[in-house]
Amino acid sequence: MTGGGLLTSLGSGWEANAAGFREGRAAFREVQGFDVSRQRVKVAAELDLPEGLPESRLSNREANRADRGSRMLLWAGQECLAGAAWETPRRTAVVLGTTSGGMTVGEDYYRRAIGENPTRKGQADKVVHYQARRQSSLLQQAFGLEGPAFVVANACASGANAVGLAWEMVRSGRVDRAVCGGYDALCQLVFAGFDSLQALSSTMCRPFDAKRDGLALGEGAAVFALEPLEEARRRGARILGEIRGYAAATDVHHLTQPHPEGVAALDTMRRVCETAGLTPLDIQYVNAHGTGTPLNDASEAAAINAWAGADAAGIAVSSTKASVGHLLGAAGAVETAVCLMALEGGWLPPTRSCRTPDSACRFRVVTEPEAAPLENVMSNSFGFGGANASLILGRVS
Amino acid sequence: MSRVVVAGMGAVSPAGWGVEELVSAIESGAALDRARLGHPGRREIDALNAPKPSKEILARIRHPRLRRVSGISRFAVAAGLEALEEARGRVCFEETRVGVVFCSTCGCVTYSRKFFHEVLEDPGLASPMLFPDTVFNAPASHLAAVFGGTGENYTLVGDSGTAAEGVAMAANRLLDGAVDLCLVVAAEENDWLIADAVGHFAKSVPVAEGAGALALALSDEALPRLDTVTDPQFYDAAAGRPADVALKRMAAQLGGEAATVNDLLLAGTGGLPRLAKAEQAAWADWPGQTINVKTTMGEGFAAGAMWQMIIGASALRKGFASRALVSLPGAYQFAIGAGFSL
Repeated sequence: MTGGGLLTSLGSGWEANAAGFREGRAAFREVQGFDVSRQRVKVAAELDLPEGLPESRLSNREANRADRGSRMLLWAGQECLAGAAWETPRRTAVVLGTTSGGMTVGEDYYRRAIGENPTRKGQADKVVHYQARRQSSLLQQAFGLEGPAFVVANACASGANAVGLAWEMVRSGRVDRAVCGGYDALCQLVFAGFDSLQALSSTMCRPFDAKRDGLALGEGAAVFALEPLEEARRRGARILGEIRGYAAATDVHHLTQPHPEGVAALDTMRRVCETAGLTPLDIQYVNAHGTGTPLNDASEAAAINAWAGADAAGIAVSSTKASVGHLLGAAGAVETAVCLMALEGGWLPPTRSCRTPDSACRFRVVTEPEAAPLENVMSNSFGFGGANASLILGRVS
Repeated sequence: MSRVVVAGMGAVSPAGWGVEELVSAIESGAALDRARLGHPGRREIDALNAPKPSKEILARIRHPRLRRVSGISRFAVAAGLEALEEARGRVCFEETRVGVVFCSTCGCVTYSRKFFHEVLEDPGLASPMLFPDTVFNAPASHLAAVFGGTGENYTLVGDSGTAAEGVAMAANRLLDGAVDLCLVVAAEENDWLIADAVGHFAKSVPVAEGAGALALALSDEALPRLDTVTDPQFYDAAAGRPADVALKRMAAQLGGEAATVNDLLLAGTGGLPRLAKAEQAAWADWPGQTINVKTTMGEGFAAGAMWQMIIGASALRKGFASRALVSLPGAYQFAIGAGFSL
């Protein structure tokens, strides 16, 4: 992974986010993008978008029409590609995860379509920009990326799936390089949806805390540049880290609830280790899915306990959703970025809001910032609909 | 991709619940019954709805997961199960290593519209019963739950070309050894909101609902084979990327220039005159037969693209063609193609 670009509520850019995640800083506020006055919960990890758009091949017309999700994606893509500093164009896959795509545009379309005086003006444009494939097309066109493209909408695992699938395409030699990651902008439909399910915390997002009461939503984007390790070494690129394994499985227990014993999560964690040729003893840190809901964290704790077995106590686990919320389609990608930052910097990102770890956790929940030499870390994404994915990332000497 | 074969197919379309119904309707070319669809009291356009399922079909898709779902999930499950059942008789695979790639353009639009309407009326009272089935990957999750598929499961979103991308992804995962068999399912459901949106661009082709499924596997048996899926070719007139150039590139990548009279082209344009003209220009020298599934089936988006692939694979099976090339100019975004042979 030779390039990374990132926007979250902690800030714009890799360095600003690394500083925030290292401290375990939380960045939530009352939502400003839409009316939350009638919602049970009113806060989210909403970000301040940079002004304008980065320099790209997009025409002014295209750039001006870009929706919020596209803007996040384009900023993250620009930082990523600047870091990768690829000089010659090659066949490059684009694999992105999202759950909402251009949903904010779709919401605007609907409001106007049902209004008392519906107007057709501008509506056709909204239809085009609502489509979830539009944002990835813009990214490809903005930076001249030619090759296959996939937009994965696997709920909360989308970003991890996108990174894993892109890795598979590069290592199989189907493409020379890949740009991958995830993005999601906060929107009213999804916010109200989680609120209606009473899945949002009415206090504070506290993953793995005994008194946790729900998740907090966030928004952002993370984009990575992938290329074969030998190619990165040959051209002397800055290597952020190496993907060592990817696995995905499906939990068919329930549409919205994970299996209480985390059966599919355990399967995913075991298989990702097989892919990487590693055992739990080789993994120093797990960036958990850790949403902060009672059911998710209990299920994931059971899976981590079973996966690590007698070695559980030696494994450090945290959830960075306590800092930037649950970014849904971008979550797996942002958490991949956190893992790369931790590997490169030699530190563990804390879950500072976890005061009293749940007794179900036989592993060590990291609650304060600490330094740690890391070689291999795991990132879990266990999502809605039973979409489970795990990645193993390693430090490259 | 030469060892990637179509081991099974499934369909739900305005012609009925099954591949046979779809193929017969395309072969006969008879017009299907149309309905009118639009915001109550406002502009309406024609629509082709899937007929009500028979008792046998209902019994086949009877499952607790499907108690409250909307049409898209029922269509996806029915088509997926039909394809899986056929594949069981043709190739060997481990049931726990069946993957799913679900594709859609419009997604779970009925519940999304209903839920968002409730949100606009009073977000504090919006129903939690509706929200879970608004999520893009809900149909794929239901399908996996019905057949007990714990393997990899992906949902891809985009325009009609997404179905070809789904086929490419499934082929990749088969060749990577991640799955033994992969169900590629594309589904859509009709809703007045879709009709309203489509009405901004095309009124001459009715919107259609249903699903199509291909069960792909690695095999040396004499089954329709996936030869290629092209890279997406972008077009946007406003940005100086004309559609005809993109479509010609796609046709060239598919090997259209080497076509013979025995080849079959499954054309993909619907009611967008500019795009139809560009597609006709791209395939102007095509020597073989051409079928446009949309003429009978309407605009089924990703499901419609899958119907094209099913018609192509069916023609190969019956010996009606030696190659089937599927042309997919997606609405305002990109052109992509898929090629099959026997």
